[in-house]
Amino acid sequence: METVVKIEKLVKRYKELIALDHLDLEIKEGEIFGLLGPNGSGKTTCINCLLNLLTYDKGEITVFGKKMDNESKAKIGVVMQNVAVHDELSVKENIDYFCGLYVKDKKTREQCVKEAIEFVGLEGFEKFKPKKLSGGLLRRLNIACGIAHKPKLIIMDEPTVAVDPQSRNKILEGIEELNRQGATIIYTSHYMEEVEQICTRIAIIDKGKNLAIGTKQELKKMIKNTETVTVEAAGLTEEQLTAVRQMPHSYECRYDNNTLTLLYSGGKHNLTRLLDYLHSEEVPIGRVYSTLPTLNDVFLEITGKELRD
Amino acid sequence: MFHCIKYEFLNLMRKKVVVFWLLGFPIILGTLFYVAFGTLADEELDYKNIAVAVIEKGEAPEGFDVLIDTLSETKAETDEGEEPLFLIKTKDEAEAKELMERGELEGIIYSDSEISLEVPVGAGIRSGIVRSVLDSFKSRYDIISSVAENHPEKLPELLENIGAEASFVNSSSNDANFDPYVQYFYNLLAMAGLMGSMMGMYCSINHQANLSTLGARVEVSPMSKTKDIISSMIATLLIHNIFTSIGAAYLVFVLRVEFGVPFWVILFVNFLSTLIGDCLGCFAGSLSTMKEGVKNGICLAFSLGLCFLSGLMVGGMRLIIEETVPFFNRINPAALIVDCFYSLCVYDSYDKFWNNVIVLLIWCVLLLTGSFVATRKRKYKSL
Amino acid sequence: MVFKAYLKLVPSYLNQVIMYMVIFAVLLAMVVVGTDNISAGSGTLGGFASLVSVNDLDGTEESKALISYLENSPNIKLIDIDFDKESAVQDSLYNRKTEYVLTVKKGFGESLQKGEYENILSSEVIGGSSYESFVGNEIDTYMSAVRLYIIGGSDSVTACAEAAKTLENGVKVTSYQQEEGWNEENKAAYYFYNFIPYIMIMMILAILVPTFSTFLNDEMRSRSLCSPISPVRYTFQIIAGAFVISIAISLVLLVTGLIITQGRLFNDKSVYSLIQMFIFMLFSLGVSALVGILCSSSIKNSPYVTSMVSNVLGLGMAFMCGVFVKQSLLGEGVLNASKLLPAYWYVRGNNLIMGGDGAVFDKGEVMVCITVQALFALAVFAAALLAASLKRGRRASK
Repeated sequence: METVVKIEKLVKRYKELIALDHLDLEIKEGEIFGLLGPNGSGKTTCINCLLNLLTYDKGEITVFGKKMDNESKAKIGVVMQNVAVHDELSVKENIDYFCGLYVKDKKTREQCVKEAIEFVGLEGFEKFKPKKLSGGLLRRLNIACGIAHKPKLIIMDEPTVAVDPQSRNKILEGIEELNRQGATIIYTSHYMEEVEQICTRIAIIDKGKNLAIGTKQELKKMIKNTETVTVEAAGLTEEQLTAVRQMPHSYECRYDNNTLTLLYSGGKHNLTRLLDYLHSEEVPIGRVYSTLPTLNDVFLEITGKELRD
Repeated sequence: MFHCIKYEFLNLMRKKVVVFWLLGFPIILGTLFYVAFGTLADEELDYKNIAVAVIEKGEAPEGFDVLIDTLSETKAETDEGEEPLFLIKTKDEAEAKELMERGELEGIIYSDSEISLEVPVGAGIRSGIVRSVLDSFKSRYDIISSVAENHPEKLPELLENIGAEASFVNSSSNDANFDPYVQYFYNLLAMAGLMGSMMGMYCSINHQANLSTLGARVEVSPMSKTKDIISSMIATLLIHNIFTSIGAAYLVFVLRVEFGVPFWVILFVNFLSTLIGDCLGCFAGSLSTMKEGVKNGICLAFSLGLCFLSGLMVGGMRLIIEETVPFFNRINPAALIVDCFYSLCVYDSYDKFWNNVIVLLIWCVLLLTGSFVATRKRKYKSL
Repeated sequence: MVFKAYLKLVPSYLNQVIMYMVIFAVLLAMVVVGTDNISAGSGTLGGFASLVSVNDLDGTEESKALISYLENSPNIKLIDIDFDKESAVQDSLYNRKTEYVLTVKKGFGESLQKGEYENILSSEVIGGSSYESFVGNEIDTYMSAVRLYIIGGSDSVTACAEAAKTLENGVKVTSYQQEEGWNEENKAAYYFYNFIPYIMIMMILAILVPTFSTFLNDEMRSRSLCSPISPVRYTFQIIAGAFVISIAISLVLLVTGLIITQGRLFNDKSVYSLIQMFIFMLFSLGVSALVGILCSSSIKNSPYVTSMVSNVLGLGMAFMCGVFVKQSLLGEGVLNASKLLPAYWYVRGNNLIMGGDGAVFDKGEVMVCITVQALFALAVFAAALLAASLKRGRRASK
């Protein structure tokens, strides 16, 4: 697969602050690439450097195999973090305006605008001014403005901030649909559920550094934890706990409020083994969960802090 | 490019703030000027019923009683509705003083062998009229007595001619209808032009990535930035000229303000002033990353300030500056715009007018260059 | 707490206030220092000088007599211009170096001797100059006298001398100083108080409307209603904050006035002036509360709305009610309309207090003016309360 975006050893300083610290990224055609990181980690800076809006101190960025130029720009669609539309233009006029910056032909443009409106589900709101739209609809308009010209590469900078769950799902489905239609998507967010849901590859960024990159599975494999088992078990004795702690593959054991939590690293049949033991000891058992690691666990382990702080 | 102009135009046209300041405000202010100054010229001619007191102190010169009687007589029978010049309130000295104290008299006339007049401090033009009537009586009286003494044989001829009014000066005023208050309207047009800075500001703000997300969105598109800014400027100028032309047409055709210059000159000067105003705004807008409201305030204060100095609020301001710092009048765009109109009223030739136009054009070029230099950047250190 | 927060908001709106302060200071300084130029239209015959230039092409005894007559006229100042330069006349008229250019034509003296008066003098004036007719009149009066003396048998040179002498001995005029009327010493104070309606409303609106709408917008209000502070207390504190700011603005205005007029701001009747100023301040406060409430739902727009309202209201009242142009010069229709605005009553009151514009102090009338203004202030406060409660009602029903 072709490389669409390549970022090598990118460094960006704001006076004393180092926003990007030798960042490397490579995004291939057809991916939904997630840039995950807490607020202030450098996601937006990275995107702005990529878009050629910001100067950077070191490094190299190529888009579609060359430095950014107008030809490349025509193939890119951008959905900005902040809603950027003209207040006094209607929904349709706004989309047409931004589409017109890319598509000169009037007929093609008309079709594009129509499709974009359908795509984000703003039918019936064409004549509305942005002020009259609810937050979710406004975000959808923001997206429509960015993608109406059918770009090959779509860059979305936190498009779902402050959006209600319905709108968010609609947006996420839309992104997957765009991807199916052949667009490569770069998606930044600090909501790991979203990233986990739609992204095919993910990079975790913090303090301007690329800490980990890979598919969900690859990322999860990077960390020690493979499984967390939680059992509600009343009245475990010290001896029983000691026995539990010595179970194979488990590396951490917590017991409080009659809830037993075991963290495993690898191994099979961990849950069965634990349940068998508890059963044999005739310990009364309540609810039982076994969870696989989430990106949050990955993030927690890599950066040592919660994603959302 | 047409695409950009079209939407820029629609967007600006629908901004209520813009419409208010560039269309509504000049019209409102023009109407206010009209209301305040429109009646002045008529008022000044209305000199009737001047309240006076006539106090007899002694033997008055011959004919004085007749004069006073004539001037204070209601000629209702002869000329219908004609009101007398003087309204004699009293002939009693004590009462006269009392009236004077209450500000109800324009003057007290003391009729004696030597006629004298007492007027209140800070007396207005109405008191001045009383004085000039008396002066004229006295001078004629003096002339008659002098001639009667030196050349008695000429007296009949003199008396024949004494009432004749004559004007000895052939006056040639450049424009007989020129009203000093029209300068306020010149200033109004200058203001309408310079206030465009508010609109010009959007030109740079909405097209600069470091000033607005909107700008960033435009800059990531393949649209050439120069084209983008130019089309935005064209749209701005177009709207602005429509607004100022409507305003000017309102002043000229509805309020019937006598500008003393052809309408095309008004439109032409308007065009220059809109260009200056818009470029000024564009330049100011791109200067730094201040809040939009602050920039707006600066533009407003700056353009109103220049207009203040050219006489928008106080008519004599431009002349005061002419006396103290004449150079400032040569470069203040508002003063230059006012001067464009004014010079055409005073001079028959267009020399001075073109002089002003050239300086205005220099301003335009400077500001245009300034705004292009300021907005030319495509990459920013920070957003 | 609310009170403190309110005051803390103020600095962010100071720039506009400073701008108006500067405008006010300049305006006042100009009027106080150089009134002669500005009050040209007001027509006081006492202290003005009309600038006249004479181009004497004749150079005879007669023409020199005319010039010397003009020179001796108390209200005329002769200005030399270089008549050899082609554009000199127009240039000096244009820059108002001179206001009236009189040309004494060749043969002036001869014509007089022959008793002919046609085509001997011509003038060039700037259109609309206030003194145009005055200078013309002066010359006509003199020439009439000369003509009469010539008819009466004098030769032209003697006639000129006689005419000048006769006209010099005009009617004796004495000035009467009204005890309660206009007094030159009050001039500075008069203009200071006269400008107050304009400047006060501009400044107070500029600073109070944004702060009001910040504190009265729905979210802010709801949030503070959730806090232990009672709604009445909340409102009270906001009003107290606004009041303190208004007083501060008034004090700053007074201090500026004192500096520019070099302390000539107070006299025995200043207490009325200060009451008027105070009431007008309350009115402005009320207006800003009203506007603030009306545009509190969209704070983003409030600075724009503020400048719209304050400019229309401020300038409108100033022009219609006699702040910039004296009331006596305004048309009757305008004055009738402006009686519906408090600034009319303010200016009227100021005229009465200071004896300006031909008015004379009358305590009763001043009290009427003050009362009317107070009623306006009350009305606008009532309107603000009404608007606030309507707004709350609408929100409750949402």
